[in-house]
Amino acid sequence: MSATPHKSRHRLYADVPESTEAQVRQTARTFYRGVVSDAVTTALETFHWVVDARMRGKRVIATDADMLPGTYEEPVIAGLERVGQQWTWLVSRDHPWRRQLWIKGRNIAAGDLAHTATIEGWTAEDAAREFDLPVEAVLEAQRYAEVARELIAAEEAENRIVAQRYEPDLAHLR
Amino acid sequence: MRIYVDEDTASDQLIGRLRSAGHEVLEPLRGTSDARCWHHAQAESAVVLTTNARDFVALAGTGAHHGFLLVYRENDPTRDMTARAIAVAVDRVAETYPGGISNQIFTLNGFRW
Repeated sequence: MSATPHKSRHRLYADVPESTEAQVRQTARTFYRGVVSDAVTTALETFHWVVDARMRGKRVIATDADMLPGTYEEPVIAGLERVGQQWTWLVSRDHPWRRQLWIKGRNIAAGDLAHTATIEGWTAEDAAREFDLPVEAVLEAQRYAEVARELIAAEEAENRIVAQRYEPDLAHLR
Repeated sequence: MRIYVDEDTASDQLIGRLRSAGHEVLEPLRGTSDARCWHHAQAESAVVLTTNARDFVALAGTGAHHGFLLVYRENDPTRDMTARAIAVAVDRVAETYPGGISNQIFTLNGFRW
């Protein structure tokens, strides 16, 4: 679903409250480079997507994807692809070989934090307490660890290869 | 054993377990570069404990040190080391090397039996 340009365009006037006009213009500025018609068209298409889903007996809800069962539908809305992709608590860092994001202000890689919480069986609240972090930072690190799973696994593998060179041969002590 | 636990490994639980076992654990530096953490640990005559093998092994190669303990992720949830397992492994290192581990590097994953 996207706001497709129409060959034949028509001017449409509507009397709306001042607050609605402000909202439309703000939406257009934020997501559609100020093009009001794109904002209105996409909003209408989204509304019809919701109506269509309801007609098919579906419910439209807002939640984290990982809270949902395997089958769910998500509307693709032009201009919104990048919304929610910006991280509040995570930052990139100029590092010689690591490319994953880090917890802002701390020397903790997001993947390390998420992995430690998993290993220990900690909730986000537990992990936040353990590392003196806001819960939101832990939740964001966990979401990031999902989307950057392959990158994080590759970086862990690099550490593993180095660390395994120093595994002691202690069979005689066991 | 006098230990500097790197920030990415320094959960309250791990620090608490190490201290309960009688180890002296330094407060981790926050948001500080690996190099500064490494030099801080050396200035404090502490063994460094971290999951960040690649960066710290490079630092360990720059000169004499007071010992270095690594933990790596095994990519297997049934094998990855918890804070409890790490603390037990540190005890085993201390028992195995009562004279200290200066200039030595060990992977704690190998101290599980």
